[in-house]
Amino acid sequence: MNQKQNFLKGIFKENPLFVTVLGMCPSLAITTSLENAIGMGIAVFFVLVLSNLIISLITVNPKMKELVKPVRIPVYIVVIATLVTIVEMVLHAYLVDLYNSLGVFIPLIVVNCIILGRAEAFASDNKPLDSVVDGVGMALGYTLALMIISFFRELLGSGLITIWGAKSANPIQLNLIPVFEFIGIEPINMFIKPVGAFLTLGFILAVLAAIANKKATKMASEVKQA
Amino acid sequence: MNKGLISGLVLLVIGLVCGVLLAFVNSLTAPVIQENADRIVLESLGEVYEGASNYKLTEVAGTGNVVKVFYLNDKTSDETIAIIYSVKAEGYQSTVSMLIAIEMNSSNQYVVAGYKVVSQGETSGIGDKIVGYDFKMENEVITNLATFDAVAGATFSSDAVRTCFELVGLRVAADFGGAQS
Repeated sequence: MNQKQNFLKGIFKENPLFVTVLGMCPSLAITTSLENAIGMGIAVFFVLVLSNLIISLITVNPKMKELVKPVRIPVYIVVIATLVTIVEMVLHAYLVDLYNSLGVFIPLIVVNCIILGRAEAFASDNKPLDSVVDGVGMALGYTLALMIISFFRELLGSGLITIWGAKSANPIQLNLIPVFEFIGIEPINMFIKPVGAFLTLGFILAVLAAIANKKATKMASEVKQA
Repeated sequence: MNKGLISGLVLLVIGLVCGVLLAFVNSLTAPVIQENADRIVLESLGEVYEGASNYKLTEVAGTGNVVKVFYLNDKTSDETIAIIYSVKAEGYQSTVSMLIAIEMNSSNQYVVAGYKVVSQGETSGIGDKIVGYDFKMENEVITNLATFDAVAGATFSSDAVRTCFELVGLRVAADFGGAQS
């Protein structure tokens, strides 16, 4: 597998949320707003890339790998917990609003199976550069998936998407309220609630499955014709 | 050496390195976190003492019904400019909590610079009138409660407020460093 494939697999083929369906609990909880999704994505990006790099550096030497093998899960947890705590402290100090809105889900990144999964399945068996590329791809895939879910939830649930509204004088906004008014309905508040998270994810997974099925059927018919 | 022991030592070393790293990051972020927390407190204290955010805040736990004492000190000279007390007293059917700001006037007397009932659960329409009520204590010497104006028909609730002022009056001189009251 070349670096391009290694990078892209995290975004498309092995997307942590839409394909392997990992780390669902925090993902569904924090996607109430696009701003939260971006914040969580950045936090996971930092932790995933660095944990992949550090674990790969620890296990790159065969002798060291053999020594670490019996205690590898505690080692992964120590490394990941350290990185998550650093992210938590930095957010608490410099991005208080984001820290407050992500709440308990920041420390819970420690037990996010995407990070532990990549450490065990990829970083511990591959070179540091490959592990970093894998981490970047997976983190971007995760962030994009969070952004897609939160985009639909916030837009349908409140009719208005605001990014960095508290910090900036000119926040980025997408206002759909006039459309709701034109149709004569209120924003569908249910999408901001937990049920909206499951519905949105369900719809997205159904659309992706339909596309994949269509592709598979097309490929099968092409093979038959050949 | 036992292989399991070496693995344990490797884990210990990794743990130590992580601990040192965390201590370093904490040393950088802890002052900023504290500053942010102080700013939030000062903003809320600004409701009873105008310009509170311009001073250095020192928070001290109180005793008895004086829950907390907030010292507002000058940032350069460190002189205590005002003290804000978080006090509580029993009302008719609930505990009344207040913030009372005290400063020293030109005659070295401790005067009420501001006050606010921050929480209560008194009778609706009667006792709860103490919220936002003018007890005529603004700029009055804290130990002189002669001007205290109770809410008509809400004796117990007003007494709770009065008790709060009395509690502050009892300790304010000592808190300011024992100067004349």
